[in-house]
Amino acid sequence: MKKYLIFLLLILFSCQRDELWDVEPTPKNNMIFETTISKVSDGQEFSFEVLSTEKHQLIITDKVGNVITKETFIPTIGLNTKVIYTNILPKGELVLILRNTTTELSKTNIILE
Amino acid sequence: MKKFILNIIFVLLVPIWGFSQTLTTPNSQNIPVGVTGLPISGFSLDGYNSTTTYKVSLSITGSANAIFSIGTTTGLTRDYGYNSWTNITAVNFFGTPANIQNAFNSITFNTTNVIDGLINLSVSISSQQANTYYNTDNGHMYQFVQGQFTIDQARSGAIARTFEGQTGYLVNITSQAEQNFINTKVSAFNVWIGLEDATQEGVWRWMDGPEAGQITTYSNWCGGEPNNWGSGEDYVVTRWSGGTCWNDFGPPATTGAGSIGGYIVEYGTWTDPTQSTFNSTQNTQITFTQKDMLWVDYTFKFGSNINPTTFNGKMHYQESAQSWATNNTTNLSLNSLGKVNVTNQIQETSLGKKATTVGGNVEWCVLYDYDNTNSRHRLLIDKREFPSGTSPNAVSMLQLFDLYDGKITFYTEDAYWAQYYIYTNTPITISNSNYSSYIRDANGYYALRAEFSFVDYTGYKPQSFIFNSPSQNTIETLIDDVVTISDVVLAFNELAGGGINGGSKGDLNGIQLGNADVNGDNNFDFQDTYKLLQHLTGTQSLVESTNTLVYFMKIKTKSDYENTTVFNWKSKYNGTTLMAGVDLTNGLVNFPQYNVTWRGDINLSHSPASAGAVTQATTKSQMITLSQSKTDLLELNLDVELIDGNVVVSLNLPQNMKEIIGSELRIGYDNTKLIYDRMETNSNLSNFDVKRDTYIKIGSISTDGSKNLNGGVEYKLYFKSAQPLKSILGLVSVMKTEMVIQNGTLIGVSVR
Repeated sequence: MKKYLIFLLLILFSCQRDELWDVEPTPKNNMIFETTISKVSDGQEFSFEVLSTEKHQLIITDKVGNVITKETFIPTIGLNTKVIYTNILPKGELVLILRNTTTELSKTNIILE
Repeated sequence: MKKFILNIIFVLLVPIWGFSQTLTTPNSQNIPVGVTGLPISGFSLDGYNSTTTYKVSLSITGSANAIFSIGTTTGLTRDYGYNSWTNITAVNFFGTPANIQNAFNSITFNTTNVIDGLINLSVSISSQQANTYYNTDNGHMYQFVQGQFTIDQARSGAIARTFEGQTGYLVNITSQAEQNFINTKVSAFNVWIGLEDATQEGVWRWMDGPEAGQITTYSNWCGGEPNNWGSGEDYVVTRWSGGTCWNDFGPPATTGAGSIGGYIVEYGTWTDPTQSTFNSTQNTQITFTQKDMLWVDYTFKFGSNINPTTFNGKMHYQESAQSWATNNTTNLSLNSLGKVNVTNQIQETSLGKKATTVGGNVEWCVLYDYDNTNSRHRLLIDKREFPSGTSPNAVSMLQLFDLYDGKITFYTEDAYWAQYYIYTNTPITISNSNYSSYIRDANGYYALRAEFSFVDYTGYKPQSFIFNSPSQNTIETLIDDVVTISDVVLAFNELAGGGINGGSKGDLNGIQLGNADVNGDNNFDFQDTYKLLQHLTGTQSLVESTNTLVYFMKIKTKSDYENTTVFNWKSKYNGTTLMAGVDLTNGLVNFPQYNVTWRGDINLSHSPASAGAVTQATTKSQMITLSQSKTDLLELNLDVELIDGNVVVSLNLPQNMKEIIGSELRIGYDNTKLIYDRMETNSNLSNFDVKRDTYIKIGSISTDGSKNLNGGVEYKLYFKSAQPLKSILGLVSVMKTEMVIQNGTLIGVSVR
C-alpha cells in the first residue's frame, strides 16, 4: 500500500509541474527551432542550420496563419544566425517558420512579451 | 487507507485549483434613495478557468429592504428554488466566468425611500456541484442527496462527503431562516436532519458539525410531534409528508428508510459568512447606504471596435457663457461598458437666493398673463419686500404659493419693483390654486397678497463631462482606424448616385450623412468627398488638428442619435465635441446616455449601430471572413528583403476578378532602425502613401469607379536603415489590409 501511495504522489507532483510552472524553456544555444515554444525579446539572436544556399524565408504568422512579417535571405550552408526584432509585432503567441522556395523546413512557437 | 490516499490527493489538489483566483467587487458606498434600476458596476473575476462552471450566490439583506435585478443572464442557469432574475433578494446560479462577470456588471438595485437604509450585498463564488446550495446568511453550503437511506447510512454518507476541504454533516437547522432556506431548495418528502434523542430520551441534540452535542435551541415540530411512536423514534426528518416541519422518526421503532426521500448535507463550520474557509470560495459582502444624494451615472455607447476604457475625462461646470472650469483634477475613466459615475466630481454651488411666499394682507406681487410669443410670465415683486442686503438680482428661484416652484430670471428693477421672467412651456394656472383668496384677477395680470422671505439657495451650475484627449499619435492612429478606404468609397458612391443633395442616392442614413459631412457645412457634397480623399492620400488631414480629439469626436444624446434620419440630420447638432452635458435641475439622480460617433465614420465601423445604416463595408467583410475558407480569400503576397543595406517591402496582389476600386494597406515599421524613403507601384489608379510615426499607409483608389485592380498590383516600399543591419526579421509588419469594391463592400484578404 505504501508503494501505491508513493506512486500516486509521484504522479500527482509530475502533473502539477506542467500546470503550475508557467516557465517556457529557453532554446539551448539559441537553436530556436529545437524547442516547440520559447519566449523572445527585441534584438534576440537565434540560430539554425540550412543545407543549401537557395533563397530562404523566415516568416512570422499569427496562430491562424496570417503572415505578419518576413525576411527573405540567402543563407550560408550550415549554421546561420539571425536577429528578431519585436518592437512593432503584436504581443502574445506567434509562429516562426523557416522555409526554402518549395518547402517548410522548420516551425516553432514564439511568445513575444 | 484508500480514504487516506484520496484525502491526501484532495488536500494537495484543491489549493492548486484555487490558486490566484480573485473576485473584485465595488467598494461599500452611498447610493441614492428611491431609484429603480440603479446600476452597480465594478466587478471582475481574475484567475478563474474560463471553461469551468462556477456557482454564484447573490443576496441582499438590510434595513433598506431593497431588491435587485440581473440584466444579462446569457449562459447562466439558476439553481432550483430561484425563480427569477429580476426584482429579487437572492439568487444562486452557475455559469462560466465570462458570463458571470457580465451578469455581475448588469446588476441593478431598486432602492427604497429609507434614508440611511442599508443594503448588504453578499457575493460568493465557489465550484459548482450538482444539488448544492449556498446560504449567504451563514456562508454554508448545502447538498441534497436523494435516496432511501437509514439514519446510519445518511449520517455516515454525509460525513464521508467533502466540499472544498470541509467535511459534511447531516444538516443542523438552527433557525427559522435556515429552515426556510432548506424548504425552498428541497422538494423531496421526509428528509433526514442531524438531530437525535437516542442519547437521552426527550433531549434533542445535534449529532455532528459545529453544534455537535449541543441541545437544539430551535425546533420546528409538526403538530403532535415528537411523539416517540411505537418502541421509540430517536431521529428527525424535515419536510414531513411534504410539509415544512419536523417529525421524530426512525429507530428503534423502524429503520424508516422506505419512507425517506434523502438527506441534507451541510458544509461549513464558521458563523461569519465572510470568514468562509472553503478552499476556493470567494466570499465578500458590500454595504450600500441609501442617502438622499446626488447621483450621476453617464453611459457612453461606442462602436464595437472602440474600447471605452481607453477614454477618460473630468466634470466641468460653466463659469460663463464662453468658459468652463473643471470641478476636479482627478480623471475618471470609462469602464468597459462605457459607464462612468461622476457623482463625486459635482459640487454644489451658491446660486443666490430663493424667494418663498405665504399668504398676506398686501399685494406685494404681480403676475402677468402668459406671453405665448416668448413662452414666459412677467413677475413683479415690490422692492419693500427685500430685506436690507438682499439684492433683487440675486434671486434666481421662486416658490410662489402653489402656483410655481422653479427658476426665475432677473430682468430689471426700478424704484418700486423688481422685475423677473418665469420661462416655462406650461402657463401657470390660477384657477386651481388653493390660494385663490389671495389672488385678484386684474384683467391682464394678477395681484397677489404674498409675503416674501428669502433664503440662500444652493444648486448646480450647468455641468458637463469633458473627454480628455489622448496623445497625438493615438489620435492620428484612431483617425486612420476609423476613416479608411471603405468610408471614402461609400462617400464617392453616394455622391456619384446623386447624393443627398443632388438626387437622393439614399444609401446612407442620417448619422452616416452627418459623418460624411466632414467639412461641417451642413451639406454632404463633393467638397466632403474631396476632403476625405485628401485625408486618405495624406494630402491634408481630415481634422484641423490632431493635438486634440475635439475635431474628431461627435457626442450625441442617445435619443438624438436614434432619431436622426436622412430628413432631419441637418437640423440636429452635427459638430464635433468633447462635451456631454447633464441636466441637474430636475432631480438628484441622473443617467445621461450618449452615443459616440466620429467625423468621417461613414460606414459606422467604429460607431453604435444606427437604424437604416448601409454598412456593407463592415458587415459583408465579416461575412466574407467568416464564411470563406482561406483559399477563397484574395491573397496578398508579402516579401521583405535587405538589398544594399535598404529594406525593400513588396506587396503583390495577383490578377483577380474582384472589381476592386480601392485598397488601403498599413505597414508598420520600427522607426528606431528604419527610415521610410518611398513607395513605388504599377497601379494605374490614384495612389497614395502616407507616413505616420510608426506605420505607412499606402493604397490606391478610383474615385469614379472607372478603374480597378483586376490586373493585379504591386506596391514596393523602400526603407533606409538607420544603422547597419544583418537581419531584418520583425522590422516591418503588415498591420491592416482593406480592399473595397464600388458599393463599399470589403473583400477578404489573406497575407501570404
